Amino acid sequence: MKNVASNHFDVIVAGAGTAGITGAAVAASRGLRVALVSTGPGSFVLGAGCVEVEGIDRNTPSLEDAIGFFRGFTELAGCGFRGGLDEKRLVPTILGSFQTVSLAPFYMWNGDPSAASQVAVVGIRGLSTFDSNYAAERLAYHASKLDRGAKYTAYEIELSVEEGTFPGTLQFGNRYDRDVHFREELRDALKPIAAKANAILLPGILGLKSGQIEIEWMENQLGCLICEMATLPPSIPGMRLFNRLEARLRKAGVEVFTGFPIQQVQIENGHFKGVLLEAPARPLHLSSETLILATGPFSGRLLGASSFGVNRDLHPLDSTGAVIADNLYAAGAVLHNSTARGGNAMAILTGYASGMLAAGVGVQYAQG
Amino acid sequence: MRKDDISLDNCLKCADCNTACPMVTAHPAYPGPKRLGPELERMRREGIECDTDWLEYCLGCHRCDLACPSEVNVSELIARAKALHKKTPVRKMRDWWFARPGLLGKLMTIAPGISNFALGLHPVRGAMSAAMKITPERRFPSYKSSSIRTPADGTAKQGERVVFFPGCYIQYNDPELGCHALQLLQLNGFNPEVASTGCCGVPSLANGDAVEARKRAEANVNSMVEAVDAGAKIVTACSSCGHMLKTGFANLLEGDAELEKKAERIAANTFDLGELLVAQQDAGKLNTRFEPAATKLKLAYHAPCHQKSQGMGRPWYNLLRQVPGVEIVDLNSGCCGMSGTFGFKEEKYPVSMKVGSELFESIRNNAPQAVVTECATCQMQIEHGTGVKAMHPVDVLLNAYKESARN
Amino acid sequence: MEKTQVVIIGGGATGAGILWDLALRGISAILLEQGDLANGATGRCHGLLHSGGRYVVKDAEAAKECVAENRIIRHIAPHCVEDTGGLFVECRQDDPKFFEQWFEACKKIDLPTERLSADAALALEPNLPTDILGAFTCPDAHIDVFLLTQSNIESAVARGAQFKTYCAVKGIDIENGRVKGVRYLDTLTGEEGYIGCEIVINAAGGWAQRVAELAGVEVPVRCDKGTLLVLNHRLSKRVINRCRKPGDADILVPSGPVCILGTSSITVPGPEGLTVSEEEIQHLMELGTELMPALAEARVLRIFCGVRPLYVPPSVSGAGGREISRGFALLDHEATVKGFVSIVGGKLTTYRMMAKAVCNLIAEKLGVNVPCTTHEVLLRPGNDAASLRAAHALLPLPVVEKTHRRQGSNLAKIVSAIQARPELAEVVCECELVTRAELEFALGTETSLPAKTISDVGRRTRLGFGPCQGTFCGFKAMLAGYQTGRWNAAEASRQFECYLDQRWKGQSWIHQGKQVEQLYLSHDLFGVAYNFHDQEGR
Repeated sequence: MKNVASNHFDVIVAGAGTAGITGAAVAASRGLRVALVSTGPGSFVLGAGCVEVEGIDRNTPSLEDAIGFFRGFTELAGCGFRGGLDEKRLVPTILGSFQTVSLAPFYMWNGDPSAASQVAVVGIRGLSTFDSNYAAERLAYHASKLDRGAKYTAYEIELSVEEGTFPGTLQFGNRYDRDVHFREELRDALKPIAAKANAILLPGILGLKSGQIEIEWMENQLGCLICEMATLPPSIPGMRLFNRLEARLRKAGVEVFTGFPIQQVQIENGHFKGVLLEAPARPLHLSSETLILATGPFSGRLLGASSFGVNRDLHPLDSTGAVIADNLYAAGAVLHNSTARGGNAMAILTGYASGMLAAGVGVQYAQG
Repeated sequence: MRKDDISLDNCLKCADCNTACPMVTAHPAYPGPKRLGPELERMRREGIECDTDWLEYCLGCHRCDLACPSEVNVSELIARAKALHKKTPVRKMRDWWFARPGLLGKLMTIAPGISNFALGLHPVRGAMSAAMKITPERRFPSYKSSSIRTPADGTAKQGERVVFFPGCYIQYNDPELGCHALQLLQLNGFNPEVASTGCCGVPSLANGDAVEARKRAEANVNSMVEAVDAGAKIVTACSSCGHMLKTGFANLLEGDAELEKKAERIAANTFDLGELLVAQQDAGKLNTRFEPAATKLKLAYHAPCHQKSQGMGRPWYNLLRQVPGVEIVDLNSGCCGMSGTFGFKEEKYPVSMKVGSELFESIRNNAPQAVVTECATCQMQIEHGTGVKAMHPVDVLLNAYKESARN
Repeated sequence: MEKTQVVIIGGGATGAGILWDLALRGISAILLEQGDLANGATGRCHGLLHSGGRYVVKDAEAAKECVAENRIIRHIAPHCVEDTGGLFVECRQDDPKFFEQWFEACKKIDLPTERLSADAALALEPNLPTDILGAFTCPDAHIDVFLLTQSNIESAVARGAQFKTYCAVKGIDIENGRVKGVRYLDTLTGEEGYIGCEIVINAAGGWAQRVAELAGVEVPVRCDKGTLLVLNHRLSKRVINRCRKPGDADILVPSGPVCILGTSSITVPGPEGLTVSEEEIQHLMELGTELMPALAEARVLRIFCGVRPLYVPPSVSGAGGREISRGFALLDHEATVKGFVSIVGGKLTTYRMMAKAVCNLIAEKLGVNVPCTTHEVLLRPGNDAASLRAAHALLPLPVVEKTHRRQGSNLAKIVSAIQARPELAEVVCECELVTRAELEFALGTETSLPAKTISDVGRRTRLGFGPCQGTFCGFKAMLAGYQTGRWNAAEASRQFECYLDQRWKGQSWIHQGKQVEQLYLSHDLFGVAYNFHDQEGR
């Protein structure tokens, strides 16, 4: 009888940011038994997970495969990303600026000025974290600087709030998930605006658990493209992406351990053995054949350094340049200490590569 | 004196705790763990008056702690504020009783027949509602006064010694479940005895009575430390008791070095029954002499919040998946909203049901024959909210064994 | 062209105190400040209302002044003072002979103090080192430097005085050896202005030497830099001093929800371009943890430095920063330029006394026979009970208390605003509990202290002063400025970018601890996620 209750896995992926989730997804897709260990949703709580490719060499080996895999995975999770390595898509933000990305989730894809010529920038009365007039004006300014023609008109709708509360994106996001009346109220408020525009830009409130069906419902009801903008943390679209991807991983059989920091990475004679998670009463010990370390920019101490290099097989190296462990891979922002552009693309690439390497599939991830 | 908790310094204001908080999700007026925890704590230390009735709405589910990327002890900060919170006289009196289910249980089981009868009477519930704001919407669990014993009591004991910590629910409401737990332990190579202890203290903490909680901690620690020092493990079948034994005692006894160390030894040797059985399986010692399944049993598993907070994976779910004939899905649909005594409070009842509504819907969509969960109050809430039967995983596993394996 | 009797250059505590004192004597004045109020040393110090204990051994005169002024300030500005009390801690590493000396010296000048045993001290302040030998109590307190400066200004304005922030003095107009007027530049709008006057008071602190040069006069000022660390939460209830000869990192002052550790003493060439080195920070932390071990784990929120403007009388030009007296110097430059007066040196605690000396001189020059009354007249009228009651009905307890502490009688206006528009009760700065009403008040026209930048808003409301350092609330403040018509969209964007720069600067010197992650988050948010910061063209 297969011991599905065992704490021994084929791969442990540490970190549930973009890199970790990609690595876990890849490993699971190759039939490995995966444990995903995390504290927090990585950078998903900040932004929306869009992928910039600027800062990465377009011809990096495996980049295309990695992006392709990621897109497919997001599709399965109900938050499909659109775009590709050669795209330069403009994604509007609540600050009235544009982020230039190569891939974005479908609910942020149609904010590019080329997608619609008459854009309705919709604010919600009383929402202190967004002003549609400000955003519309700044978007128009930036769009014209980039030589993109689109007309931005500001609108404001009023939405009901629960007694004793103020309008807030978290409240609206939760109610979108749970309350059909709220969804209808939102639709009814947007309908007259949708009649006058071919795209609606609004702060991300279309749910923290919603997928393609729930969001496209709104688009279909309105007969108009919708583009959400990432909200100030907790970013609702970011959390939605995280929740959907994590749910998809669980469905694929990944065992998720959330909320227990890694106390120790156990390495013996250059070989990774397991991790000890800080848990009540005693550390939780998980062991595996491989570890993918994707724990973000402040976690170098897990390998005893503030930052470390990796070789072409994504094995972390110590200060003398030696491989720390032959079955240990690193992916994502743990590989650098700065907010370098192209962060998400690098995360996907290294996550993909380390997942494949963990599955015993030879991949190249770096040039030369 | 308890040390100041400085984990409030770790807060980066990402508000992930607020997205994970079942109360914020269901009831947006609730200020949220970020505010009630690290934010107001800075103010409290400045000497600003921060008391609020909203502290009563913290479910103590610890999901904020699990969601926090920065290791802020959010729920602990809130719990300490709760202990200083001033309540209305009615709530104070009611919550005094709710903080002492052990005492309540003892009284109720003097003449359980009468107690149960009375608790089922409309006028009695009406009076409880009027005088103490205990909601008449819920059925009280019935009280039983039989003792928890294994069928083989009296015969020679074999196997690894374990001390079973029953908790108030099993002790006073479902001793038969306790018997089943002991049976299960015996079937898997353990030699169980029942701890003679009182309430673990979770309801005391939840009701803001830190003094009573500390008393409970001290009593329990002193009564079980000898067994632990002799090498025995402590086993719980209730998630909240398990959570408390693993985390709460040392916390409350901080300041008394000796007691604190004892509490740490107890914590280090406390196991959830599911966790213990999984360890047995890893060691190749799990009893797998299951009866071949006659019919398929369609089940859904609900992980209690205090199970998740123990950081042991999903032992019961993973065990039951291996039982022939069992088809079980992990609902993973949030907090049930009961939070022990919380759901019995009249002013909290509507919000309690609102919190659980997502889980109820998930259960309805799944349409299982029964929902399996190891927390008694989750069981109550699930049955109350959906009408679907709720059962303890102990019973599912036990029933699966061959008749022959049970002797 | 504007005209007044007196122009005051410098909007720190001294300048503000002078404006108030003159207003009470019926002398018209306009104050010019090149930045926001309390831009210089006033806004960059500990915020310690000295009991005098720090100077009692080496400089009894200065100590006596502190004893007297401490009492007066508590009387006239109780809303600015938090009576934390203080301790002078006898650390094991320090000289026990000094402890005795200190105690005796306090007795001599009637500085109230009492000796506590180590146990008693630790019972009061559990975070003190467990091996201390004892401690002395003293009437140290925390003074809110922004509130103090603002209150002086507000009260003066109520009596007809005027002031301008972000106006830099470009020239002092002198005719026949007599002051005629002052030329200034509004650095935000680019507009130039001129104020005709009879008297110019140089209260420019660290810039006093430069201002004096504009008048063709020499005022040698030694700029002595002090660096301070802000810790995220209160590690002590009281001001904690180290009972030894004044040195680095030997004072910890509770200040609102935070506490401030300082400081150092390093001579710098001028009041601008101040930087903080890693060694300096490490040095402060090392010493600080000797006084307060909990510092090792505490989160440093922000590092800032200010310059003590020390007047260097010709006789002591070779001395170090702490050796020059903290007394002040009032310089009447009559001989060279009639009507030009400089006030240099001193410390925050004696600001009122310094202002009094200046104003006595000015009154004499102008033939105004009104004595100083600043020791008696309260700086802020008390709040009315009705407003407080109304506030309690609209806002949660801690929000009422914080807002009241910050805004005093302005609470009434904030309450009316919320009553008219309930959405203004929303808390927009969650770290410091600032409501939209308070934010809009600070940005609006009803306040006598208009905020011209988002950082100004911070200094009037504490918005952005908490752990997130404006990451989450700065944007909302910008939007409020836009929505109330203060700034158009382009101006608002520039304001926000400026604000981020300033907020980021104070955190950029922190190299370890949680604030590094907080700053990273902020950069990530406004750099990458919103692609904001790099895109705003200037």
